[in-house]
Amino acid sequence: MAENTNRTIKKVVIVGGGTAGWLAANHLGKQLINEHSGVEVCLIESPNIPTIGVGEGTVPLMRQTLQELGISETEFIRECDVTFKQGIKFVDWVDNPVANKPSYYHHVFDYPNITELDLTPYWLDGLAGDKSYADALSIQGAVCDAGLAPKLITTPEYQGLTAYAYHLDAGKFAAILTKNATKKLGVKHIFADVLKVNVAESGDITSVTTDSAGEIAADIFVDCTGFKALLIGEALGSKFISKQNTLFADHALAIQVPYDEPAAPIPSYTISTAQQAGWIWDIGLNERRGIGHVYSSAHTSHEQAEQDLRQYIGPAAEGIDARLIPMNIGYRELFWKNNCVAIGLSQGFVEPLEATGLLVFDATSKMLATQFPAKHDDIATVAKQFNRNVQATWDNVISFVKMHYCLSKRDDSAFWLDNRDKNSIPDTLLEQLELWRNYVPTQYDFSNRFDIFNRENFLYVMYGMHYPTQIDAIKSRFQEDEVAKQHFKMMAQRTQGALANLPLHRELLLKIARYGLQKR
Amino acid sequence: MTSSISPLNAQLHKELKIQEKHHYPHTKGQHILPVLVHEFAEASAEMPVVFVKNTETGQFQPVVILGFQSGENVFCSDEQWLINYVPAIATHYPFALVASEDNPQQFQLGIKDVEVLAKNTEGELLFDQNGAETAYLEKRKNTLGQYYENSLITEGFVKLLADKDLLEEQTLSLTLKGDKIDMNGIYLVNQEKLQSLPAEDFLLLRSKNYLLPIYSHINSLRQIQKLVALKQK
Repeated sequence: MAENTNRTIKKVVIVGGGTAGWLAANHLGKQLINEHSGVEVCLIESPNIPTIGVGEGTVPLMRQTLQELGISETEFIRECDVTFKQGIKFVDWVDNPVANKPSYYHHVFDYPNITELDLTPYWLDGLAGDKSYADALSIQGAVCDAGLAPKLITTPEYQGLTAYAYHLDAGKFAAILTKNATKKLGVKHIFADVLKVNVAESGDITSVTTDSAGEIAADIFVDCTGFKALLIGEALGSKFISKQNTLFADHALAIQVPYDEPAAPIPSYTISTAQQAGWIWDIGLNERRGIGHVYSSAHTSHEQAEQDLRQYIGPAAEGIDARLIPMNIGYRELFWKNNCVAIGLSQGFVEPLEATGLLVFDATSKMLATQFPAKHDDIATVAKQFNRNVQATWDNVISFVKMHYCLSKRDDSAFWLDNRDKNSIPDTLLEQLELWRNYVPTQYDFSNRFDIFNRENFLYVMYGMHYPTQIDAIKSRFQEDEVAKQHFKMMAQRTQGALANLPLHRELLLKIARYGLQKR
Repeated sequence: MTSSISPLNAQLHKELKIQEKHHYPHTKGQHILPVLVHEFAEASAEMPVVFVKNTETGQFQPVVILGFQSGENVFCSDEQWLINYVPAIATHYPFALVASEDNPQQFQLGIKDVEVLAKNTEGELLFDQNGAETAYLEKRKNTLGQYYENSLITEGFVKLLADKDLLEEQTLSLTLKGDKIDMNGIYLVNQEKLQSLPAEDFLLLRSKNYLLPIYSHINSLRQIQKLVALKQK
């Protein structure tokens, strides 16, 4: 077979049955399996290896993905213990915390009102009064603060009055993805443990040897084996490049706790509360909260980290164990090597500050499926592009996450001070931040179309964190004061309208459980 | 129409007399009323039959359009209902089925506006001297029971339309006394989608006797002009 180089790609094998594996299986199945293609996609899942399964936050790309994959939103919400997420509330990230007086800002999913006229310089100039950036340029911060849902029971599936994503139970999510891939898209599911990866002299993987399903050959292998990176790392030797010197957090302590009372309000956003050596995520599902402390073990001890976590939660965590998860921060030198592609933790990982886990799995699975080669000879070219694009994706994610730390004014621990050390900040980010001291970010500062985090995201975080852009030198360019004031006024009116119309988050979830959402 | 409903009680309501009336003043302020799938053909000869979403449940509900804004029913004058066809739901007055408090699956007969009815000196009695239900009450009760059965069939009809993705939101635009009015939140069967349904789905609609109601609904949209004419009278 190896002699006939330009053969058609007929078989793809995905190794690993976690969320990343099943996301990849869905995207590949959707793209490749049909009666004319003759392509087979199969996924090997170990019955013995547990999945990590703490990724509970998503971004709006997931909404698009689920819709494209033909999954009913009602079914997804009912089966995966889903709640709505309209953004992230960052608490105590800007200034040193003051006891019982937390300060916060929202990074919401609705884009700020910058398309017709970029209102940012006018906001900087004080034309919106003392309103926060998010409140002046969007309605969604107020919607979040009021505990409201992003839509009505009459709003069709996958549509919202505001942009939204989901909080979900990762285990149940993998199950619904499994069902969709196998039942609807025709992905073959094999339960077996991979014992050995067989590599040819060319460096291509020819097959994997399993304990109970024999030897399985394929044209392309997708490595979704998690941090282990059984194929791309262990077998093919693609090196792991650590980014620990930029992003210090290397451990997470995760715990699941019940609500104080069953009918307690559910926030329709993730809460991220900064700590002495990291931060705590707080995600509300229907029946329970998922909470975790992400921290740098160089700046605190595991014992202290756990104490901080329990302090944050209070009595609800008593008698419940927290799970310690070590994290390798960084990414592979090559994500696609020979005929092996890494998706998921085997590809790379950064702390889940902006729900980056599921997001990058999803975005890169989609990238892989869309540009999937049909012939063996095309693999090298596609791989080169893929490696370039995925690396750009990771660098963008790392810069964006790092920005949350280096814009902080906190100086109450070494962790925050070390985060502002110039040597720890990527050069491009340093350059951009320098530029943005005197200029408002424009779309040309974000020229990579495939970046996950763009101008809209940077704006919310920068100005949520009071980045001191001084526009004096370019002030003469912004002469639309009256139009801007009109826009700010309209946004305030739209905010009032939304607050009057949208239902409480839990109320809507109960209705969806009972009646479902209509497709249209 | 939001008057209090009391459960019917042989003791309390022994003396009540019901006058059969053929005008329906309680519908005067209703600009839409729910209809059963069984009524589509008849209703469509008089008024638009469309679908709206129930704001509480998000579920599709077939309704007839009786007016252009809340509080307006062009088919109802002060004295009488102006056409022969009356939506079945309006004819049940003063009776209604209410879910039992102990078991929401169980229904019992309720009666509205007892204080007003108590003033009637003529009309049909509901209970005889022994406290047993009269033939009249029996008849009214059966009608309501049948209505409930048919509403379940209607739910099935609507669910099938939604599952086959046949319903689409459309704005009805019309000109009334020179003003352009847009009616929003109205859902119609999309004719192109109906036309391109896979044969097996189309046969399913036929076997369930849903074709006549569907075409009645589509054709009933022409009645919007009749509403305009009645309104402008």
